[in-house]
Amino acid sequence: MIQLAINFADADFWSEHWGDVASVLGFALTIGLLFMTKSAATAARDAARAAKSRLLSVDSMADCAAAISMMEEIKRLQRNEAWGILPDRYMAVRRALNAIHVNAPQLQPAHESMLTAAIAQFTIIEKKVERAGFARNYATLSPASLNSVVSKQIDEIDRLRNLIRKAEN
Amino acid sequence: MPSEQMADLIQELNRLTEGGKLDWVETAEENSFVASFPKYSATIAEVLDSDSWGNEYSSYVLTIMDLNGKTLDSVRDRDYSTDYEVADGPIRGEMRKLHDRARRKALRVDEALADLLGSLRKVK
Repeated sequence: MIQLAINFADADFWSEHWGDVASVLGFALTIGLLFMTKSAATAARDAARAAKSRLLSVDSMADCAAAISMMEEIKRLQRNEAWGILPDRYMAVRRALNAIHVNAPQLQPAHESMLTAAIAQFTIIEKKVERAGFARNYATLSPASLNSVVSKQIDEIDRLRNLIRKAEN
Repeated sequence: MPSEQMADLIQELNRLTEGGKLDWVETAEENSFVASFPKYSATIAEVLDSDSWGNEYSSYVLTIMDLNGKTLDSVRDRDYSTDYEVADGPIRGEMRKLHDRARRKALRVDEALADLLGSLRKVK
């Protein structure tokens, strides 16, 4: 190291080796710039991923809101005993819930379970109403009981929406 | 003949329910309870059947549904022969136990009984 220091102080050293020193410095500069560029690219990629995740979460929250609106309409129809048209509504809300599942890969398993639970509940209600229809005996259906089940699903999907919002913040 | 996998599933659901690891909830069908997972749901229901003499008896039905609500598999306790046994005993008994445990969990029976007992013990 001392010899190296002495060499740098020697004018003859510079006249003979300025090209080598310049090459080493240039190489070091290139490596440094590459690292900076890579860090910038990584940061840009991470920022893009975060933005995409945020957009997906915003979409999921909007989809949850739409599903809740459909469920509230189902409650009104059940209250009015519009049994003939309800099976289509049940199927539509199941599809809407499934779409949240499919379009939101960032959902945690607990969130996915909440969606699966709601889908299962509407499947069971749909089968119950259809059976009553086939038997021409809608009198066996209780709007109050069915609305109680639907209300719970509204609460759960609303809770899911808030969980997604919290996870994003 | 129902699959062995369904028998394994019944045992596993029993184990997890007994350990308090599953959330069973009521459904729109009476005496039917559902537990949900990320991609599937399991419902256990008690249904009334009758034999050829018109005598009524309870049967237990386990149904597995996918994300679309489509039934993937369904098994009734009487689909298994009486001598079909699993690690914990006859499979028919295991299905009845599963239904009972699911019902107690969904209706919070144990909490209600503890609460009632506490109130009664305060009565002088």
